[in-house]
Amino acid sequence: MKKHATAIKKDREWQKFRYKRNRILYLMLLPGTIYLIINNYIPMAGLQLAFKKYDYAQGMWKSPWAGFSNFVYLFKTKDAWLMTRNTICYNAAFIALGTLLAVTVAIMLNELKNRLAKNIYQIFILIPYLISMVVVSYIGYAFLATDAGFLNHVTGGSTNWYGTPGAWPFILVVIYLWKSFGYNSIIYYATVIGIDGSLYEAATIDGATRWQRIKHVTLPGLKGTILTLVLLAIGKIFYSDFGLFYRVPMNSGLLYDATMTIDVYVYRGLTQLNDIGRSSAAGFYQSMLCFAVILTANAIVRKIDRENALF
Amino acid sequence: MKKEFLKRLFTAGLCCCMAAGLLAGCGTPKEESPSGGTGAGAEASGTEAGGASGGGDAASGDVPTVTMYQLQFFQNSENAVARIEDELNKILSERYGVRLDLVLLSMSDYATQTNLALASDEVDIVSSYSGFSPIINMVDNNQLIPLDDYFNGASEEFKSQFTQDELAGMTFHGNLYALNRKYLVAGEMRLTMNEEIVNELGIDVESIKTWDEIDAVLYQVHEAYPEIYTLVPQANNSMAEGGWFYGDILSAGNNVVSLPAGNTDEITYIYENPKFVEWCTWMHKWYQDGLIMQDVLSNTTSGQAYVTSKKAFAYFQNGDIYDAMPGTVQAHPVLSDPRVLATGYTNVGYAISTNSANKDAAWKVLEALYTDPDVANMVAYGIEGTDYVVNDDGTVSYPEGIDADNAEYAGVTEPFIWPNYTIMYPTDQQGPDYVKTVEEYNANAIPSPATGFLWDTTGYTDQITACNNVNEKYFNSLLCGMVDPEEMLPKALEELKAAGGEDIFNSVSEQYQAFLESK
Amino acid sequence: MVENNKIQQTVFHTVLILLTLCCVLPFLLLFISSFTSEDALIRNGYSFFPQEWSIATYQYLWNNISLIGHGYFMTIVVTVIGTVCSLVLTILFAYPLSRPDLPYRNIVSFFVFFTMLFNGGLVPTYLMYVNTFHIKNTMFGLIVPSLLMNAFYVIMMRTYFTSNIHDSLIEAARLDGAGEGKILVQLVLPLSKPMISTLALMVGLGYWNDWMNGMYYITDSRLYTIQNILNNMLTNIQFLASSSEITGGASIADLPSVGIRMAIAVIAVFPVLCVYPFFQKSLIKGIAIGGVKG
Repeated sequence: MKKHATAIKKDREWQKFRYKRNRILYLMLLPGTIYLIINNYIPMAGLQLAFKKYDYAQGMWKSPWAGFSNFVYLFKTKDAWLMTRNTICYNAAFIALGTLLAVTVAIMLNELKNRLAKNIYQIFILIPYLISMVVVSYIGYAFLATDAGFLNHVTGGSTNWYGTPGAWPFILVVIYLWKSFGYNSIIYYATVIGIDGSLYEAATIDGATRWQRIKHVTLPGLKGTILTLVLLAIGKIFYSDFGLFYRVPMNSGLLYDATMTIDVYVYRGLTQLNDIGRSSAAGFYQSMLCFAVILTANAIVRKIDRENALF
Repeated sequence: MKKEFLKRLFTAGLCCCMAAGLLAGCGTPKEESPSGGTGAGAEASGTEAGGASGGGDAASGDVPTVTMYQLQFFQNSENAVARIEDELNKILSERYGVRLDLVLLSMSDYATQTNLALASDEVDIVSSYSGFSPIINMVDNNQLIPLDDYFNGASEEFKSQFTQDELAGMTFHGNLYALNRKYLVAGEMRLTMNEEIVNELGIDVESIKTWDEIDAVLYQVHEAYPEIYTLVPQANNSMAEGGWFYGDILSAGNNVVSLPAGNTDEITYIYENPKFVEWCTWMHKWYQDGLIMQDVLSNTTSGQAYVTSKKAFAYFQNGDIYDAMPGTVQAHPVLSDPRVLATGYTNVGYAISTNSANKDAAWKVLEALYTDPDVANMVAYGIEGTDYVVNDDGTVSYPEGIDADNAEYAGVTEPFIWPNYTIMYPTDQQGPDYVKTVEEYNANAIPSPATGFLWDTTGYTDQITACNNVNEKYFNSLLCGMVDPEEMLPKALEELKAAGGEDIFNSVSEQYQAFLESK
Repeated sequence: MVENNKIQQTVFHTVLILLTLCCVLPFLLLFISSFTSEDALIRNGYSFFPQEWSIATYQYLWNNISLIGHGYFMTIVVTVIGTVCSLVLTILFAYPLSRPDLPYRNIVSFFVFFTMLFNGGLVPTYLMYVNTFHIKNTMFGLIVPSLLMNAFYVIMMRTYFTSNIHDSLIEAARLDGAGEGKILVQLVLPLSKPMISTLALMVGLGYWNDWMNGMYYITDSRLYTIQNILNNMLTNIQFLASSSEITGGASIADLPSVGIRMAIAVIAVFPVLCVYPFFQKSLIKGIAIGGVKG
């Protein structure tokens, strides 16, 4: 009897303790929540602009409704499918190849013995990330120019790269990888060095080779991070890096079809028009598509590995 | 060790908050007026109570401050702007009972910052530039107020500054929406060539007028100097700036239809405009023969830089009254006589924001800018003696030891952004007879039948966006000669029509006919 | 076994050296081009072995030294304050999310993630910040909008907490009677040093590279960050050449237009390269601090 009472008392104490603990946790959530409400949720009221004709004098709330007319321009063109397809395909390539390269580099860096070399490599592979896209387009021009570019110089040919649409999916993927692999590898590297050392020791004692160690200790340790980052990237699959697709091709109209994404199309179409309703509609369209995709992707991941799903 | 870490974290946090608080105060409050504020303010309220200003402004006894957004080509120092504002506000508050807060924005940010400011009440006067945000778009978005009432109630001196054409150019849907910047409205095509090469080969500059003559000269130079580019674009990848040779574009920034030069009433698609086709054909011939650089579409260096460093021989320049740069000679006019483009009257305008809280005061400032030489000169050039000096011939230049690079306020380099050059001192680059030269040039140019007409784009935005995209693909490629016009022009035209170009064509024709009939 | 090791190390080094060269050589090209004379650049294009050296571009930048120096100062201040505040907010938010027994945890996660999906757009955000909070032309305008806490980093941090900090550790600390705050500061943070350094680096870079806040919320050039100033210089040069409807035939620019782009790129990148080694110390140091038992 006494034991039961003590058990109940302990249980209640435990409940109180948990309640108190949760309260502190919720308190920790408070500043961030306030910020997100201010910075993200309040302005979300602006999503209604996708369905309105924005009148500067009336402001956001009083502008007249326009139904779906702001969305028409996205679909009425023969380029509608082309730009969507381009956006998805490029992003898929970026995610797949980018993750592969970044993880490989992170693991290689981890396996190195020479500490000084590690530092040096890490600093230098970050450089491309720091260079702005406008300057990257100039560097690209230095490589791809027809008469004075490096590529033609080295191969002895005289291909007009800026007039060859077929080459550009590869060129853009290479440039994207070059620019971002250093930065992306940092996250993976930080996760890798956080993997418990004793796991490696245990594997070595069991006689594992380096590759087996990587396969059975490092990669599983990275699994959570890889999944999360891939999911987050998929969540942005209908958006594209404007600088990459608009500036790097350097206004060559011939490359238009190969390099057009939704963002670039919207920018070119609305240039000078300053049509807030239409640009808002484009953003809304992209958001809805991304939302659908991410829900699906997240559901799939939940089935396989519940802990690493986003929500 | 644990306590220390906690302590460090806590102190770091405190420091952040303190620093953030301090530095937040380092922002510039909007109504900052050092020195002359209170004195002038008291005087001004006296004058204001007795005098001219209308109602609807800030409380009486309070001098309203008008915010004006203006473009700047070089980064001017805020301190210079502040001291110029001080002096300027003395005059403005005394004579007009208002104060001006001048905000100078760089070109790359101008469109974005202005559009954002127009959504709230931060700005009163804006200038519209056809390259960034054409005035018709601003009117459609209801960003500007009609100025008819203000204009009709203004003084005769003010009204006489504007010609009929200038007013018509800024009238939309029957109302005047902006005040036109007075300046050149005509232009011509010039062929700017490297002086050294011209002298060496003994080329007769005066005789270069038609396509064939240009063709002969270019091939002559290409043979003598095969390693340089014979022809380059004036800027980036547009081989021809300005429509001087092929005619009016009837909707600013939208290259779908044009009124061919020499026509009065027949509109064509740009891709069917005979002069345009002619241009593309010649360019393509030259491109194929290697006279034009292969990567012309990706070019980012200006033609001027190429020619003065002898990397290229010539470029077609959008010219008017200015002389050739040193090291170059110009054949002019080529391909056509100087002509007026209807869009010349809408390039730059000054307007008042719909969300402005000081509309009456804003109008006063505009009046001052257009009629008061003291105000116009000070806001354009700065303070006499410090920022500029007046020369004997009546022109202005930088003081001794200052030039465009190190000037605090580089007004002398950019006089053409201001409203009324006729009441300002001319700069030394412009010359003492500048006003006369400009007016003569404008008067002697072939007038445009479309002056006063601007296509009303309401309801055609979808077509415009689609056509913009088609033009991004074809327009410059054709203009630079990179593609074969025989093949590409029909293709481009077909795509344009499919994208809604046909609707645009019909609408423009209709409106233009109505315009002609009403004349 | 040892030889195998050596070969493997050589392979790794070779691959990494190749990758590093790919990254460094273009930057080297930029660097050399910024010291090449304008004439040589126009005539011969970019080259590793220029025909004519010149420091004209840096002289031009030196003329604007007060502007550029001020820009650097602003950027540094904004980056430091912004990064510290952002780190505090992010970690405080990520830690509770990583506790599996927190009620409504999934809802909060979704709440955070949703902000990555939908965006109200520039105009509503701008109007809210400027009209309600009056941050225009203040330091807050550079620090607060969009950069102060980002869902991406929250989720990244949460993932790290979940996968690298074992529950048993925290349970043990709880049984010892420690409060959540104490657990966070004394137990979890030291174990997360690599990730926190990474986060600091990424957030810091975010602030350093940001030019949008400056463009939208600042019109007073004294508050511009270095990115705004450099961006303006860069694009103004482009605009000058093609703004003929404003200027007419008057030519304004006598700028070293080609070389200066390179110089601008160099001075935008250099400071980060100098500071980065200091982050590296904590990145590499955090190896296996206090293993997990059982």
